[in-house]
Amino acid sequence: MSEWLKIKKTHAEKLLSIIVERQIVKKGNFALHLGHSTEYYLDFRLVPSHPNDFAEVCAAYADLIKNEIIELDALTGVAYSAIPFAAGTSVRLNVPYILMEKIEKEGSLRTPIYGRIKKGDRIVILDDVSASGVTLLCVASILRALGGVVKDAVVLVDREQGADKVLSEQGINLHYYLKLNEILARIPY
Amino acid sequence: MLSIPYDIIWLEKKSILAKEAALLLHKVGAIRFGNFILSSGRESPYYIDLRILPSYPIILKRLVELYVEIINNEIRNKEEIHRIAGIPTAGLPIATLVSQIIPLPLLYVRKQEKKYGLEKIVEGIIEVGDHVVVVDDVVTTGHSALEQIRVLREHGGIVNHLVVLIDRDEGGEENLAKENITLHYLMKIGDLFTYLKNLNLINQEKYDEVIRYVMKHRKGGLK
Repeated sequence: MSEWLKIKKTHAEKLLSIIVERQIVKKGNFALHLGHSTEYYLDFRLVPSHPNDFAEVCAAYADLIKNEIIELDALTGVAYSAIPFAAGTSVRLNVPYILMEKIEKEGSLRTPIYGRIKKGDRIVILDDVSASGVTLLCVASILRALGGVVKDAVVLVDREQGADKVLSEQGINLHYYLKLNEILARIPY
Repeated sequence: MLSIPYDIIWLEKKSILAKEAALLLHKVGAIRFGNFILSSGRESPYYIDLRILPSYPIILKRLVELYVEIINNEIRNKEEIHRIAGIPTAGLPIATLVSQIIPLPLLYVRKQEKKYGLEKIVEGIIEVGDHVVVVDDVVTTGHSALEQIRVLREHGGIVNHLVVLIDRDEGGEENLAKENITLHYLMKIGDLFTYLKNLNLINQEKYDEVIRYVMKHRKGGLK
């Protein structure tokens, strides 16, 4: 096993124990966007309320980016849940974070981008969870329209609901630590 | 033995830090001149845009250290605090990094309740009786911060302090005081423009224009 894969496994194990200890997985019937619903919801918004765990998660994002993404000029986070993670990861890597507003309903003419993008900037999109991949694609297309080059997205957990395929068709590699099923296997409920 | 009151030492230090911050903000283009419509509908000849700060992580980190200085010297020296709250969007990256340095748990209030997922308006943990310090970028009238503070209070938080980098001096301090919130800021907008003029970063004409606006809109100022 390569050095990075060993580190990746360690991060994945730490993430799993944070997910279990902080009760990140909520069971119920949750409406997701686009008419989808789910029995298990992952609430990573709780993590910043635990400073040590938050630091560990940012370190995990930073290592994932350092080891799996060769070139980057900036990163962005999907609002709101990824804003704290993007901020923490950006200062760790000393890579600019292009602050992005929550994307409002379609047809809004206001740009949700607040940071500086130069034409040709290679930008990595950061989010907590990937499902269908539609939100990540939407963010990617906005960044691309502004001259950004988007080839990578990083998440903590992939729900395996098609994001991998949808993104790769658009030339974007999805990087993640855990699949939802690996988490559910460890949850006692 | 000669003893100098602690507050005077801190205020002296704060004015030096404010000059440093003014330079950094100017350097990244966070201070813009032109014709801007504020969220209140008021027209302003200048705009302070701290949403670009995360594009400059080293500068953001330094400014976050200044927030922490304010919190340590004006709040934590008098009372215990349990949580830091950020106001999305601009205030949230700042509050996040503040919460990591101190360190304290972070929470934030959504602008409006979302329609899916867990349908929460406060994200993060808050317990009844927690002393929460709210962090934002800039204060104008204070109305938007007050909305968020009311939500935190409804959830049982004890909120007595709002910390910002710049007070635009348009009645925010007074409006917040009416709701028993103490406003803490690194500098008032008039000080910022004075520092910039003294460093020849803005000319006399620009300075006069913005100061006229500041004087007109400050509480008890020219009407």
